[in-house]
Amino acid sequence: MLNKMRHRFVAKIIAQDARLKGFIARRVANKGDIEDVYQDTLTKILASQSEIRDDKPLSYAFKVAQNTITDRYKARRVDVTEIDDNLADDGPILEDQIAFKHKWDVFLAALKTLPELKREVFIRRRVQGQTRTEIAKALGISVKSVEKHMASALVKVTLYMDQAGFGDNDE
Amino acid sequence: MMNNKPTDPTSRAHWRTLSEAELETAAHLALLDEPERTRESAAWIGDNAQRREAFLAMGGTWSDEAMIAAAVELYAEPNETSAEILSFKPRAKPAALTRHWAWMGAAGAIAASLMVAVALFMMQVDTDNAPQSQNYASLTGVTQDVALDDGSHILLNAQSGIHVSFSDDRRAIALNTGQAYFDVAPDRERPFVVSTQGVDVRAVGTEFDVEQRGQDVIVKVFEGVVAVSFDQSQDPMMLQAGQWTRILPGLHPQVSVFNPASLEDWRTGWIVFEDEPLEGAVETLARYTPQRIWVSARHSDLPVTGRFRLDQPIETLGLISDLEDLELDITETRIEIR
Repeated sequence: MLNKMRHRFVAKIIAQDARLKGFIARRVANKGDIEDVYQDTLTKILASQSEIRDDKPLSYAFKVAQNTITDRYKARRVDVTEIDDNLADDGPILEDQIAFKHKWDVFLAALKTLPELKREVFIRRRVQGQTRTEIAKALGISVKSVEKHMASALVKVTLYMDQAGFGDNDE
Repeated sequence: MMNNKPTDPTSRAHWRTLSEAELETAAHLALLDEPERTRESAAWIGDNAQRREAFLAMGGTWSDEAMIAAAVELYAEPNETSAEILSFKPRAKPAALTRHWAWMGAAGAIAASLMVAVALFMMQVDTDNAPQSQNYASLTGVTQDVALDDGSHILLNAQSGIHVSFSDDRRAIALNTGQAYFDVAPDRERPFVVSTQGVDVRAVGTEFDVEQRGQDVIVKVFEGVVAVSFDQSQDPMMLQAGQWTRILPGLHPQVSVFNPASLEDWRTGWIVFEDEPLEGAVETLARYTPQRIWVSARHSDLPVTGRFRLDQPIETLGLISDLEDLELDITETRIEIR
């Protein structure tokens, strides 16, 4: 259960990747650093064993990103534990949480139907934030194949969800 | 293969009946980065409602928080959640833990400017003598409605200035300072172009908002579509209703979404910040107070979140200072945040 919370916490951050990248973009000297810092930030949060609660995931990510950047430039670090307790998100009501949990389980089943390589490509792109080129290199396939796998994985998962009755909820 | 078959816009578009090849195209387009994503999808979709639904469904899956949570779970706990994934080669140690940091020279890049001087408003001298050319400026703390000859309306935020120049083939607006909301009367012959800090926002008939914040330009579209050009060597980025972007000098902007119906913006006297750096938040508030506001460099990046009243800037700054534990020093001519 504790891990589930962490997974959702990370998912909330990834769902707002444009915001996190914008935050990083405003703080790095060159464009090329944005993807690097983004990936390192996610990796750190995924690997972190420290306690996290389901509030303000983006602020937490900003602080980790800030530290990743200051490590590069050797400036003062932010204390990641000093996360503001007073500004917690209004948590979703219980009914929403149950619906969310259910959808999550169906997505999990959908992702498990994917062939291994497709799933690996998909997860590297969505969770680890790797670029197409990085994925191609790591898995020894072409960039074009990476793109094909990603698109076909997305179609399969979307069709699976549609058949499971989630088709009308897509935003 | 389905081709641009005419569809009844009132009936539900059944994207599932599209061929697999078309669905994969929809997915491929949904996965592109901006600005290609908006541009290429618009070209592929055309008026085809099924294709549009397919594109939206694919994008919806990709950004669905429950989907991402499931993907994170598979990534973090491959052995618990799925036996077969173990047969794939083990993941490398997280890159961040093993990578050797290259020393980056530009330490100054993250040290934000020492002091931010905001609220300095300078009226531009009108050098254009054409009769259709005019300057408009608003005072501190007051918004101003400007009705133009073509039927368009502009609402100037406080301490904002524009230069309007109409010709036979173009309605040109220069946003010299601040922020303005544009409700554009349709006129296909004369595009309506708002220019500021090297960014052109071009509309035909639509409603949108343009703001200068520091060196950044923020464009929000409430209705219709606008084309945003920020780099002459590239095609313009297309923004639709409900999309906004923040253009930073030298970086490729990302498109984000907002709810245009929520009316939570400056026109209603409120401002909503979501992890806005203090420096930017202060620049917005400074339009509502005659005092100059200074922010200490060590706080300029502090993220500010919340919904604040614009007509009471000092109270708002006091609230932010309390929340963030900052020191606020107010005199008749200046406010200092330390």
